[in-house]
Amino acid sequence: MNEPLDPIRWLQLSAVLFSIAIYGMMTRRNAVGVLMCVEIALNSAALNFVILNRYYAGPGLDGQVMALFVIAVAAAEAVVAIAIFILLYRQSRTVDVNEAGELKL
Amino acid sequence: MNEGIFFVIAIFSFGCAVMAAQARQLLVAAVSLMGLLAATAGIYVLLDADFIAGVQILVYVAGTVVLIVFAVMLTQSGGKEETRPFMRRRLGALAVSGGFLFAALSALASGQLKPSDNASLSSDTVRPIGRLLLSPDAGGYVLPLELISLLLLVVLIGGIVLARADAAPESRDEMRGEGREG
Repeated sequence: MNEPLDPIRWLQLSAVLFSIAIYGMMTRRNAVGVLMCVEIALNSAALNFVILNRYYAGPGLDGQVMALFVIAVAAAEAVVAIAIFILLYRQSRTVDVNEAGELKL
Repeated sequence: MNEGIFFVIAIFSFGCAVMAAQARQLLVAAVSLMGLLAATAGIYVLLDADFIAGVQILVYVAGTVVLIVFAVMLTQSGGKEETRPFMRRRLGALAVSGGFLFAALSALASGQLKPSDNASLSSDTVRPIGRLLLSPDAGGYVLPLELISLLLLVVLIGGIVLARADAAPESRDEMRGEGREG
């Protein structure tokens, strides 16, 4: 239990999280639920950057800077998506992705 | 770093992600998402990325999850449970995500990634990140930093414009037109 961890395990964990996010994106009907799965995917992408920077990349912290940008863009995208969901709800009283076929605002 | 800590965090993240991706009550999913993001911040601490861990907590856990809970409440999705997806859809989604997982794991196992311990790591990552973000030379990130600021400004204004409470001018004209014909 005290041997050093093979860093590939972190990358494998990140791949598992991303595939769970894909499952959720394809399965969920509520738009906010789909957004949650997108956030899981973006989070695992940022995690990948940090893992690769720590164990596989050359000197420097570029991976962490990239993770910072991914976090910022994810937050910005969540804002816009939620604004659209609120508008959609006001118009059609539903945020079901199957029923919201026509986005006519 | 030993396997015990990894195992605990991995199981916790996996459980939270599964709950967030398929829980039918959206508030349960939101809280699980918060748990996953906090676990990721813990992973960042283990990977010596302390500044990124702080940003993760501030922006993701204390920002994005709160925003998602607002969205759940404002779209009245908190009361009723989400309808269960049909078995065919679930199997299709499982196939796609399983296929992706297989492709990713086999790519990782192909042995092309060679670990090189990043010897320049110290416990203080704020200063190097700050220098990288502000440096205009070839390895600097000052242009993406400015673009991100612009993006955040646009998103802030756009979000307010999209979600504001008063009616848009087009629907006001519609209402005026209906009044004349009726």
